[in-house]
Amino acid sequence: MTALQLDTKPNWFMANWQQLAGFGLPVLAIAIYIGDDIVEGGARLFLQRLFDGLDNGAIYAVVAVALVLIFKATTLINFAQGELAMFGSFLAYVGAVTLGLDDVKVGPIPLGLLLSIVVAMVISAAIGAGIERVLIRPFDPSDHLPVVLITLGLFLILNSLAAFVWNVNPREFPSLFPARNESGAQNFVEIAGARLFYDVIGTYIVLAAIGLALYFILQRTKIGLAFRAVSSNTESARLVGVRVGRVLGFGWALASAFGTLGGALVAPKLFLKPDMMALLLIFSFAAATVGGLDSLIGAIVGGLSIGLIQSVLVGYLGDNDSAFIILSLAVAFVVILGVLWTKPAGLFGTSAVERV
Amino acid sequence: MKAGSDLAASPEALWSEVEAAADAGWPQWVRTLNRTVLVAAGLLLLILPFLVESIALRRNASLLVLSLGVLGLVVATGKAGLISLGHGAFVGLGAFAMGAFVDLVGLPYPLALTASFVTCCLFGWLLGLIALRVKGIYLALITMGLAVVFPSVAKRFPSITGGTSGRPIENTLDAPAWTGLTDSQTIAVRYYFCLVVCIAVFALTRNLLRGRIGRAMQAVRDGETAAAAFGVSIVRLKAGAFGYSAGLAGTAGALQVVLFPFVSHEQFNVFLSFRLYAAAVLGGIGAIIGAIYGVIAIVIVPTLNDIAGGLIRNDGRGLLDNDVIVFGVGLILLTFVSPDGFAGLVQRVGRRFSNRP
Repeated sequence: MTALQLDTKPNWFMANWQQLAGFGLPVLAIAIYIGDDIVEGGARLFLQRLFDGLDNGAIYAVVAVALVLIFKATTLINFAQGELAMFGSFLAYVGAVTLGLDDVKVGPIPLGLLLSIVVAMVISAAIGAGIERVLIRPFDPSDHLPVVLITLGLFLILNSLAAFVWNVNPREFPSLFPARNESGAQNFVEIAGARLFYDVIGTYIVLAAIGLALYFILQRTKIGLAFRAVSSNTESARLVGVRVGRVLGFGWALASAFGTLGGALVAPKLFLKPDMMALLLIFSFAAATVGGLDSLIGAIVGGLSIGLIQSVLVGYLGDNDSAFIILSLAVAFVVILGVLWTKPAGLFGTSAVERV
Repeated sequence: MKAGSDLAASPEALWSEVEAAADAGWPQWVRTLNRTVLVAAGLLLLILPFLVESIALRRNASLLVLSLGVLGLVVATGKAGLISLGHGAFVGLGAFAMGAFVDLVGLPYPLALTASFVTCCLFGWLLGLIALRVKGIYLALITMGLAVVFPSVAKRFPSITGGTSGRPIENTLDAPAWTGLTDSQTIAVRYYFCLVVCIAVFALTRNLLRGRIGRAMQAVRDGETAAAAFGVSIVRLKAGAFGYSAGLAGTAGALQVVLFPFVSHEQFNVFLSFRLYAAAVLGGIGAIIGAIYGVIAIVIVPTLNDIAGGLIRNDGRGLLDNDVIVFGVGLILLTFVSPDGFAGLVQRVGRRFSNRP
């Protein structure tokens, strides 16, 4: 309407061209590079890659949600998140396999396994809240160094503790959903020739359930309201009577529980072992960074897109399994670097305003 | 640093204030202790080959060499304020570069060492330029990513890294034939080579940090805006500091190749990075003497493990067989007790007992 508003259009492009180029050019280059491979492979292969990518992506998203929950509350990155998830999965393993609860099934539903995962999530939540209370709360959250050190220490302790109690050999972890390679079983749905396995569908359902649960907790409960208040402005929240410490503990508990769920989802695929989460954590970091470290929706979108990038791009580029892992690791690293470089707030995060 | 009031003062006044602040923290008592530790450690290192077997010598020498990695962290994190959880990757890069320069290019050892130092500096500087747009915890994130990704990527270049199984180095550093030294004495020659390099690098770094560059680093760490106002180029300084620190870590890796003529990606996993960082923090990341205390910690912790390792056992495996857990507990304890590490602890105790205010 006014000249001022007309002016903003070209300016927006000029102001954002670096970010546009940062995101757009690689995508364009990749599309040109693998375009004919996709056409050649046909719709079936592409759809299959899509399903696989969303499957991996859903797990990255779950762990990324845990990272974001902690970042939202305290602007800290919990480097021990992966190890906490690994430890929680071992707790579930104790219930399901060591105590033999996995044999308890009602029809096709593995009730015992479900129960042990839920119990492990509750215990992890208690551990998470305890860590926050004892190790994190004494420190000023605006100074990053002590908390980096604490979470690093936790990483080392949890890793060697798990190796001590359960040793380093990989173990089979029972899957919540019908296994893929059960002989003779029709355990997938066929869509245009591509196989959508039941366990993949199950992972999607779990991710959707987590999203709904989070939405309900944060938007419809009192503690969720307090959590949002603290993450938007800690000092103001404190002034209106929110018990900030308790809310932060709640955030850690929630994050640890979701982390454990993510660990229990990925353990049947990777085998359960103490260093199971090291690589997964990098993908989840990448997911959280892409989505914006303080955005829960961003974490889910980021996780799914990292999974897709990994499966579509690397699936078409890589020639074998080892190349697959290495290329996708490199891609995850480049994604973290690229996003932090061009747009540190990610896709959905709030940009930090720095006052000098 | 009180940025507002100092802006009117001249750069010289700022430097002298920084200098005064640095000196005020070190009472005579502590200086004496630090110097004693330094001299004792130096003497011990000099006569070490005459004291212990060649296996123990090899182990101690490899720890001595790692001190350069810790020193790199002191420069990057302690002096310039750049958190790096990925220095193990630079140690690995240095080792692989050294192996490549010695075997594939055929350079003599001192030249190859310099070349791998420069290579690591370059890579660190490049990563620095990219990563330094981000701060604090984000930098920790990026560098940790580097540490996790590095071994897998290294596996992909088998001609340099030997792929999955690793690669023995063909041109080893041996004593010249005319000296008539036996094989077991060769390790002593390698040890002295490493010792000389380490001492030289420590001295060089100390002088660098005492001079203009070191003061500029501290100014940037304490107040970026104020430092920029005094004409310090923040980007150049930070990238330079990161590059130099990566070069130090790379030298540690290169020297490791001198000691053990074998490279494999498994040596340079994420735990190496964490252990280096833990050692730097335990020793005291704010001062060069902290790197020395940190290395003493790296030496002492496994020894303590050997003594205490039999205490708790599970399947024949001790909880303390893995020294990582000690570093983990140490990190957390020290963060509570003395965030600036053992060097800082000594300093504070020293201040309490000194009669100067």
